[in-house]
Amino acid sequence: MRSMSKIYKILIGVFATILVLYLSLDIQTIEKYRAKSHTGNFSASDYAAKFWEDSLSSSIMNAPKIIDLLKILEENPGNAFKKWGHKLGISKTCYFMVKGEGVIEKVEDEFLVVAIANQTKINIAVDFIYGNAIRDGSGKVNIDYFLNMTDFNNVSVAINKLAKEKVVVRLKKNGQKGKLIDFAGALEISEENVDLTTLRIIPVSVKLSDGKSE
Amino acid sequence: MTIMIKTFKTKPLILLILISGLIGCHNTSVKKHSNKIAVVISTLNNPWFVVLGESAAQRARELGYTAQIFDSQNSSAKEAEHFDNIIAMGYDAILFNPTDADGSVMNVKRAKEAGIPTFCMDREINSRDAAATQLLSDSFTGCVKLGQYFVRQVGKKGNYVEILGLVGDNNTWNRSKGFHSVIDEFPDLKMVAQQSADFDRNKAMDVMETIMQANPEIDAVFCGNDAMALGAYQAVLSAGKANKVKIFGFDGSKDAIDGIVSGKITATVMQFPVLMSRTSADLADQYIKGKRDFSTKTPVEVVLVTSENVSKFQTEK
Repeated sequence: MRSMSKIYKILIGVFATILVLYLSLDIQTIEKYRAKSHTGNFSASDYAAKFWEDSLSSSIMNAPKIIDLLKILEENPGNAFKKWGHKLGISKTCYFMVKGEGVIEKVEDEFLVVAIANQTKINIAVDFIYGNAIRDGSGKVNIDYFLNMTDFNNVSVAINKLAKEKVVVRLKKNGQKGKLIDFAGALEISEENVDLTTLRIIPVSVKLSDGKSE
Repeated sequence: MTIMIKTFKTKPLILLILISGLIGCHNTSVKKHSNKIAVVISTLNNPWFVVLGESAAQRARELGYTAQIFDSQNSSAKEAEHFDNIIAMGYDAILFNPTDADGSVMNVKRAKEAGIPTFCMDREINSRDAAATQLLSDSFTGCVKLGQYFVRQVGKKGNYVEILGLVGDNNTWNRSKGFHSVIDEFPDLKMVAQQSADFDRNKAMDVMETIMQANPEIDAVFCGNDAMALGAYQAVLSAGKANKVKIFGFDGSKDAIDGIVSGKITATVMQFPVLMSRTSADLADQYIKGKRDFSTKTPVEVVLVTSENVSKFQTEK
């Protein structure tokens, strides 16, 4: 009797396991799975719009002048990273929000070359607007708020989209050689290789010499 | 291209665990401060995860703990079984590389309820508070960089294939979405096929062979890891198109670095599994000693590796 009871127990266990495994299988298309995307009700575009409206202006207000940042980066990079830089997790890339003014010296396909004080030149991007420079350079977006990295990264994509729509498109159209430019933007610098000759600023606010707000 | 995929629902698995508990598990008492750390790895069938697991275990041993590695064999059920054993055996902490971003959450929660903190490594779970913290490669950002390099190498026009990793893993989608956040802005770059090969080299080779039969004109392949990139390269080589098709991977494995040097692979993204796993062990040690204020997630930067900077990575890892 005991051995029969044991057999029944095993059979029930095996049957339950097979049943549960069968019920566990959910066959769906890759597109459907991707569409679900684990994002719940979070809207990166709504978050980005609120960031642009509420947080960006204070980031710009507190941002250093690009010329001051460059000076400290030349003298003591560590101080610049500590004072104005923002880093995420374990990383050797530091992000900054900066502002400044200068003269457009050259128009390239992907950027404008802008001469600022002391004959220093910087590049303001008008193409390949990607990455986390604005999100992380602002210091206003906290990773702990997000359920997962997908949501957090989608915010970068949405913020970059706003930068393109609100700033870059018109800058690309109106940014011409010789114009005065007043700008704010974000950039990234590697702590390992502080190369000030290749700085590339993604603009978040631009005003050209004719006073036309971009 | 539309393909069918299989995923696991979590509720029936909970049921399975409850049933197995009713049938035979009686000894579930939790032993505190056992000086043991468990390392649960999604699969040891991939050298990258072997490095992740062994580095974590080694660091735990250096810190004075007994460490044991558990192989989930890419199975959520197997992973749940490991957590049952770990909870029953009263480990102090779990260094965890999950099999499924959603499906693994309940395991981490059960461990938490039993007083055992879990530290996720590399792969993410969709929860803010289940794990003590999560150290994650910033895959999305890595693939944004890779995507930009892809456009500069392939051009703004052409046909490409994407081979995805495990569909239940957030890393698969973070890599894919990072890549597409760039590529999709170039409408003349057409994805002729997107298919999963589960991060497996042999599967990627088979998948690529099949795709090339239907789409002979391919300019590039983006793969969710290096093992699949090398599998895709084998298929492309067999078809006599190795010089025409550019292959892009992710991980920064030694084979892929060598592949960049020899021209087989165009670019990869270097991850740092040793750094991630050792740091996770350090954090677990800090937790056991009383620290509690961890950030919920800590991204670990990844680096684009191309022919321009590959020499720097030939000996470094």
